[in-house]
Amino acid sequence: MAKKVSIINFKGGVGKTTLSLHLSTYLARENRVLVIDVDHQSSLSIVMLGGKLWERCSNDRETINRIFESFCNRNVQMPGHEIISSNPFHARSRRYDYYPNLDLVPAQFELDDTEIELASTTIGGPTLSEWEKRTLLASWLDAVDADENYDYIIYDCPPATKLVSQNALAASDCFIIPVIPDEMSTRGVTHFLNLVRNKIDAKLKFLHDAASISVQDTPKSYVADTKAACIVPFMAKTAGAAHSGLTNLHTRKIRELRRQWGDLVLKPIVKNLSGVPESIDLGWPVWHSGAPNASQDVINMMKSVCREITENRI
Amino acid sequence: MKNSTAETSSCDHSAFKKLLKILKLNFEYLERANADQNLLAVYGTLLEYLGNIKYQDLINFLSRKQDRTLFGQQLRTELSEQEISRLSLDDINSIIHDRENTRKDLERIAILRFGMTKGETSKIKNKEILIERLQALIDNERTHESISRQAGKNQTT
Repeated sequence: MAKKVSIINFKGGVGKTTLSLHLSTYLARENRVLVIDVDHQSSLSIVMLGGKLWERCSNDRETINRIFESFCNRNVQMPGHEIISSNPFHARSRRYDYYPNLDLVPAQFELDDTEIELASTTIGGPTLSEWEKRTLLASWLDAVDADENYDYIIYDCPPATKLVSQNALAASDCFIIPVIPDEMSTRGVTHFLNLVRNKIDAKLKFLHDAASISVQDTPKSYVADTKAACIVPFMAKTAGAAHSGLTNLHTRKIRELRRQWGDLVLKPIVKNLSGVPESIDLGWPVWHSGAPNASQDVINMMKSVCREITENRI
Repeated sequence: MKNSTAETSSCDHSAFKKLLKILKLNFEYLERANADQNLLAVYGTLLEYLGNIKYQDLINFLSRKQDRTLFGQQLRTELSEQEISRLSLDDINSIIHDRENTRKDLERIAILRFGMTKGETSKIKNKEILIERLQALIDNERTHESISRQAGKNQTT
């Protein structure tokens, strides 16, 4: 069975896409990985495919959008493998073939509108309809034998918890929350962890039972209890002379996070160092970008975070 | 041979596009046949080069016409800072893939057109990597064009 992981947080700009890119490429060195961009902003898709190929996928509608559109629009069939972009880095840059085992399901901008339509569409009984619209992604994963074909499935989620994110969480064994260690971001963690447990998972279980969904009709990729894998402090600001190496605020907030959430908070953190955004700019994870300021320290930092997540958290 | 320059140009351009398609299919065939990796790397580089240049520039280069508006030559002697900053992405693409331009020429493009700092350009190890960087910067700007087109689309339902 593939391990399925959502990278998610309410707040935008906290490093979800950066972490999704690095974790999926780190895993793909030795595993078969499918990364699914569930964010209508399509940032991960554009980084991995480049603008030209991403635009082609969008125009040909070979994106995740079709999975959700198939519920709202009778003329749109649930897609199959055609929305999977195989080895996207190589398709984008023929000269390099670092990740032959990494595939991508890209997103497109219209996913935003489709989500709104999805919310207002009811097919058949309302309870069954609400269940089905939250398990579309799980059904698609079953249809393409994702569990057989991949060892890991990573979802890059949008900064929201509406239907598309709920689809990802319903088909996830666990989720990872990147968080900038400041007050606003850390409040979001408390809110989010409670939301997943008490509302999202609980609602799905209620719908499942209320609609009397049989075992045979429950998608195999559906996960009833999505666990929190870890919280990853991201973009922690450095302060050279400080004992901790970080600013006072970020030092304090990381300590608070650890006090509140204990072992859930990852020990290695992602510091706000040059090299990471420059690598994303070039369309590669930091260990392959060749960006001049992607120093060995920065590479080691990202690798240690990915190693800890891979070996001990998911 | 046709008489009209426009007709010749249009037919040749179409034939060039067909040729590119055939070359790409051949490349994919060789990939599937597990051809030699070195061969594939060189073939991939050639495809990328041909995919990025204008047909007319290629013809000019191959026939070594003296009256071509070779931006490479202009770059060394004529283009002012203002002209460089106003170069189109297609022009820059032609320049960076013109082997006659020096590293210094390319650094001028990087600094004046793309806003790279001198510090950043000086850290780039060699000309090949600088060309790759410039290609990435071109692709990034083109991506904005893709995004504008996609964002401006009406959703078809």
